[in-house]
Amino acid sequence: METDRAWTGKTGGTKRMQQSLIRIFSRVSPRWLYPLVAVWVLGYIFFAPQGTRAIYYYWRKRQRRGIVKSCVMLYRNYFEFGKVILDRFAAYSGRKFNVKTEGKELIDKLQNQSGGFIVISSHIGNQELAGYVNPSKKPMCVLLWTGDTDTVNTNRERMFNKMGLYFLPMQKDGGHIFAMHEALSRGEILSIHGDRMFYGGRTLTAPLLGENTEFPEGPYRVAAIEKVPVITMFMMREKADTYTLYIRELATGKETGNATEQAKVILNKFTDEMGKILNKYPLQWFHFYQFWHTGDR
Amino acid sequence: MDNKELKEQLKQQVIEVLNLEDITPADIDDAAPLFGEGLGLDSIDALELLMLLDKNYGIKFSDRNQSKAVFASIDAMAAYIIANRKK
Repeated sequence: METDRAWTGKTGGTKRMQQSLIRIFSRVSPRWLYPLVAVWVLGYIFFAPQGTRAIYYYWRKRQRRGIVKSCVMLYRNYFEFGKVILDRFAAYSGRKFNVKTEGKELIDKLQNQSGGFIVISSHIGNQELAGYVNPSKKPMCVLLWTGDTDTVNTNRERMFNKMGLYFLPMQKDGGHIFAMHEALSRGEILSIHGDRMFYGGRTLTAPLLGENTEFPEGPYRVAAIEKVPVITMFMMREKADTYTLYIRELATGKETGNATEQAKVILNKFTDEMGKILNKYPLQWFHFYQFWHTGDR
Repeated sequence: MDNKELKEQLKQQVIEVLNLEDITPADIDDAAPLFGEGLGLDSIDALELLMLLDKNYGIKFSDRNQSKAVFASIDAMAAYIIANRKK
């Protein structure tokens, strides 16, 4: 695996900065800090060249914009990410958001069934808020990369434990795979990121926005092996304090056939849904590293 | 079914469930490790094997640490199946 394709899994900012944000948002709306973020992100654009190159590529080649337009959208993309991060810390402080849900009947049906199901999430929009606004009737096991700061992880746990969520840290020896199986066997919900590779490992290839790229095989193969319903959720920012949550079905759990082939089918549905959402919300693409393996930079 | 037949059946099932296209039952040594240096299986393959034991032999694991020893080799899997199979 190329080193620039691996994600370190950390939220930006120091521990002290993150704690300050949580204190501030217990009193004021995050929107008041947006102007500050508009300036702050310039630093990331100029001093984080790998991320800047990746986002420029996304706009220039995948969204097919001109050079000038791509530069403008690059800045707006960073600004949008800053707003989403502020909203996330506002959620940690207990702030509520206006959320419209599309596909609610799908998750209601799965919540009322006895068995477990899988949610494959992505790093577009504000996916962490999806769990926050959608109280679950079943316990939810969230597979988590442990690279974040104590502030982020502690506040995640404080916020999500109230919502019936708990975290399962990824382990290099794959020990988490059995814990995931046990969670599903108990009829719980299993939430896994479907678009980032942390420890390398096997990959599957699928097209996204007109170009093939690699995805971790794990989430899709686990979903295919377990033969449970699989959905994806996209929590997309509309404006200050307002989001739309899109819920889409990737597998019913009744599919037959080889798990390896079924994993590819689930991945292709996932990238198809991702592509549709990105066409509607192109600014909410938050992979600040080279997501596509291509020499076409 | 005796131990030898069970091992041959197990090898065939492992090949099928893991889609090991270039491997035949004869290529799998009964005592060789399935993970790491052996067949090179990973933790998700272990999940497939766990489901295989459940579906074909009615075996469910109550202790996840037990699985490492059970999936160590075809010999270990066969011994565990003989001792614990429900079907």
